[in-house]
Amino acid sequence: MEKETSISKNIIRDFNKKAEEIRSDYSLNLQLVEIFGSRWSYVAGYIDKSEVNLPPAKLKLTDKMGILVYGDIRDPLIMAKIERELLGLAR
Amino acid sequence: MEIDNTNTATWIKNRIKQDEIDKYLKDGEDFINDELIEAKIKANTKPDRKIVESIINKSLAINTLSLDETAYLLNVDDPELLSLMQEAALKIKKKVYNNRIVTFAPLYLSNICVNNCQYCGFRYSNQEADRRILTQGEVRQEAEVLAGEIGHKRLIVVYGEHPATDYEYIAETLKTIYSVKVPTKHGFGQIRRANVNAAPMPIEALKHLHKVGIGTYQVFQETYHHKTYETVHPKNTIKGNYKWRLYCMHRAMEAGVDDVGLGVLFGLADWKFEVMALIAHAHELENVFGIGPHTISFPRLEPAENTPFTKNSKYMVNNDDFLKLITVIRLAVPYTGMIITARESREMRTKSLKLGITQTDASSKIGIGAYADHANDQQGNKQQFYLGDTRSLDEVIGEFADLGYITSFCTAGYRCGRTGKCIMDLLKTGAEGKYCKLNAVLTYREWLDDFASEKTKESGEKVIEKEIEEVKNTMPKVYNQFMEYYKRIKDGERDLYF
Repeated sequence: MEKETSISKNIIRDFNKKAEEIRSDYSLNLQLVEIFGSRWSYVAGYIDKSEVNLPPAKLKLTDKMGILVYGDIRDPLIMAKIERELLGLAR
Repeated sequence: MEIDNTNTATWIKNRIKQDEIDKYLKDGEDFINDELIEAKIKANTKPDRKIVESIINKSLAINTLSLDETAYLLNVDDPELLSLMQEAALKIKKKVYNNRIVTFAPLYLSNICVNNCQYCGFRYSNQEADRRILTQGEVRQEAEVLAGEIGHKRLIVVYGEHPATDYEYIAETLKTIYSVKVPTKHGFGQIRRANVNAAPMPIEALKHLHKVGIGTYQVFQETYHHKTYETVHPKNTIKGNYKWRLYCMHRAMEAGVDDVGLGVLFGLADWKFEVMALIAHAHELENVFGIGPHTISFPRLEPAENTPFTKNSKYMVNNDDFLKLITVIRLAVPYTGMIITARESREMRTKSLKLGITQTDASSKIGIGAYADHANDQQGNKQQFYLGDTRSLDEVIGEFADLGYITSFCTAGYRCGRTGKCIMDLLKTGAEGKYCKLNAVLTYREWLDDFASEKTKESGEKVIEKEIEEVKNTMPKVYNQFMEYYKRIKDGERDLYF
């Protein structure tokens, strides 16, 4: 039995594919979340079970869907590119 | 707020959705098998040291125990073995949650209720109770005192079961609470996580609550013992339906609420049975949803105004058994948060800290509107029961500091994806404990600067110094970022977290 999420299985599948590309290209790890007010609820993607991470960058794709980006997020050009690519998921 | 009872009977009649029970049953039966649990308790007596040690090792590796293993530990009476179990309980807590104790406050918003539970001061037949539902303005006043004067950042908000306090009211009150922002000495105070203790609801209502961003949804079964449940909860009430209550967490999970809190009101039935059933409930959630309980609570029956049942139960749990049941729950569900409340005395709360407690409340007032009233005395006719420890948050934090614990106001996890399956994985591997440490220090800094007395601040500074040193030594990868946040908080910035 699965918990309900407003994010479709297709979006999750596309997210997983995109996350793999971004991990390979930029060594950044992504997590897909569903947004409920201040709550960002885990849906799919990266979980580092071994150690503590620096705080992720939060990208709000829609009112209901967001992405957490883990890794070296200091390059604004790369981050902007990633955001553009991920916005496609919400369309 | 005025109470309209016109449609209450219809609301009660339509409340329980039978299909939202039946879909979860296996061959028409629920997952609590009383006979099986009783048989396991009887079968696993005369514990052997080697077996106890191997069970402890399984817990130390952060694995959930089976019912047989739990029964085995429940039957340990040898002081030496008990001592081994207690040491392991504390080790597990430190491994999973580090050295922090999270604090929160209870906030009771209503005490009108359609149920008639024998042990409860809010039952509808109790004519002595002074009934009240707070308006949104009054809710705001309560939250302002809690966030702005006391310094709480996390609440458990409690509601009676009644159409006037159904999910629409709950959602509005949560929005009100989250909107509060009060200036403090050096920054601002706000409630960052509102957990909810409310009656079981249908899936649609839970979806609605999920959308407004509730923290943990907490519903206690009270007693898992079928026959006792029937006795203390009259059949013609909503709460009289055992299965509707038992499967409320299944409905919550389906609705997307994946942080759920289980609990038992100890004193209604045999305590060993209740612990076994609690563990069975954790197993059920793990098996069906892959996500166990976020927290487990274990309140003991306390005296309540005009409620003789609370003084006469033959199942009252004595202090030694109470400490043992805490130890066993810690070992049986190593990843879960464990909550002890101000129902208990100062002495029992302090003792329980060494057994793996992760959360407790302080400055607690459980009368409706009691924070804004600044009521100093307990008011029996407005409370569900009487509290055992009414110390201020400052006093409690000061004591924790003297004992070497850091108090945490962390509410970071649920705001950055550490929920449901994700947090379960992190808890089981010990990774979450590292986040706990970092966020404990950052939120402790905020609280010491904004709310602490000089005496508590002095004790707190020693704790914080030690914790920062540990961060430096054990988490070099994040230390610089952590110290940057720490300095910014010292300069008055608020709500920075990992």
